[in-house]
Amino acid sequence: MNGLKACGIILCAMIVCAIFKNLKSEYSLFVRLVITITVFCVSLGIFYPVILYIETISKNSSIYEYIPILFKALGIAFAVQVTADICRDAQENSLAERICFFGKAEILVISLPLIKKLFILCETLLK
Amino acid sequence: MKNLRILIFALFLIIFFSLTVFSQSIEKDIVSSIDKELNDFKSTLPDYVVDFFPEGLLDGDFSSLINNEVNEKTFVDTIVSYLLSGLDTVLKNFSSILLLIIIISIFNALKNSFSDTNIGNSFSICSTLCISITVFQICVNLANNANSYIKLLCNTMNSFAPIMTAMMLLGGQTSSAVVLNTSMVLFISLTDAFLLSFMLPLIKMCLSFGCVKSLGSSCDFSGISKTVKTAFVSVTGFVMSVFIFVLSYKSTLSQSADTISLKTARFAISSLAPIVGSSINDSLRTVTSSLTLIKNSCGVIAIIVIAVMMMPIIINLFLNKLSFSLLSSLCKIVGSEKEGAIIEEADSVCGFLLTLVCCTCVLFIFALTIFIKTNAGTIS
Repeated sequence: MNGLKACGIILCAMIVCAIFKNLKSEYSLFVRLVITITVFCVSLGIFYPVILYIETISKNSSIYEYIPILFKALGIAFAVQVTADICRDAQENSLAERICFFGKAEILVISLPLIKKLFILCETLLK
Repeated sequence: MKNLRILIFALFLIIFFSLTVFSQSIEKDIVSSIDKELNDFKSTLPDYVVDFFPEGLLDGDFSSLINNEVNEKTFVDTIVSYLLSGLDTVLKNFSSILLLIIIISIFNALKNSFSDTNIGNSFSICSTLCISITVFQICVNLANNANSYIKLLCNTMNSFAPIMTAMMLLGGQTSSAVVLNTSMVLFISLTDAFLLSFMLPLIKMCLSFGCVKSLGSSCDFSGISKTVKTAFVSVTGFVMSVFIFVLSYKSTLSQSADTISLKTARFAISSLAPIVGSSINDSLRTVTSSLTLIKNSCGVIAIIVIAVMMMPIIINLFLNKLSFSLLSSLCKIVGSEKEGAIIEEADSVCGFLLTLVCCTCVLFIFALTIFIKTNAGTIS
């Protein structure tokens, strides 16, 4: 899927949502949900060759161990952001806040080995 | 009867006034001790320093030094070889950090599309941690390397001080030998303690502040770091000046004392031996000049040893500093201000380590120059 196709799909979805809003407003939310998740999954597919490329070029360097952590953190951030946006669209702000908190906590957990490494480094320095 | 009396008197003299006379060649002892000290000195040197010198120079054969076999070309060749070998690691580190900066800046651009800034900030901490660990790991290695090189230099100086003392004793500079040896030993111990137990931990402390700051801590350590940095420059300058000042005035005073002693000896020789006095004086002058030449050659070798020994760490620190400064500029170009600040911190730490190592080198080179300059050449 290219950018133009995505734009077309989004415009069509917007029209469908507008029609459903007047006829059956409860379906409008589901249409939005389906389209958002589809576009998000397709976007991830677009990122795949980029991820592979970055992994290949960083393979022989000392930063190779950090690349998966960065990708995971970015992925979680994106997923949480999309979910929070959907929740906000459905007027569920409280749920949006919770998922954001969960996302932050998970990014922190992923970063824990890095924090541990930094502390070990500080310990080595102060020995 | 008279002959008998003379015989008895002679026997009496022989029996009661005969003294056992011992003679001991002090010079021989000193020369053998120099040989031993030279071997000890050579054993403390790392292989790359020994390889730098022509065959036999470190064993006391100074002909290659006098024949100018150790010249500018040798130094330039050595510097180039160290540069090339150091460049390999530095470039590897540089490319790794550059790659990380590019990836992080791309991710930061994606992150900016988030409507929720908190999620973006959490991701920022993760990316900053990656870059700070990579950068500070290099800095920690550099600090440990600087530590071991300074230790090596102090050990080398400790093993060289007795050689110079023995040379001075041979040349009749007793006061200078005693005073300068005492000062030198104290000086080396103080430098060792001051640099390795005070200055280096101070630099490491700054580095730790930088590490903690990279966690996105709300604590602002910049004030403390700034004070430590200012104190570092002032204290280093002050201590180095005091060391050089003390060594200089001590050497001047002891040199004067030695000059007076030698002039007195010369006067006594001229007065007591009126016919051969001048030739003895000439012989004394020749011997003193020859010993001064040997002493100066030894001192010059020690200076070259210091320069060659510290060259790898100085070049390594310089290349790393250059790479960090280039990376921090690149961070500003791609808009990664936070990562740029961390790399700038590493850059300043490299600068301090470079200052510390260079100061140590210059300090010992000055001390050796004072040793060389303190000679019996002032006697007329």
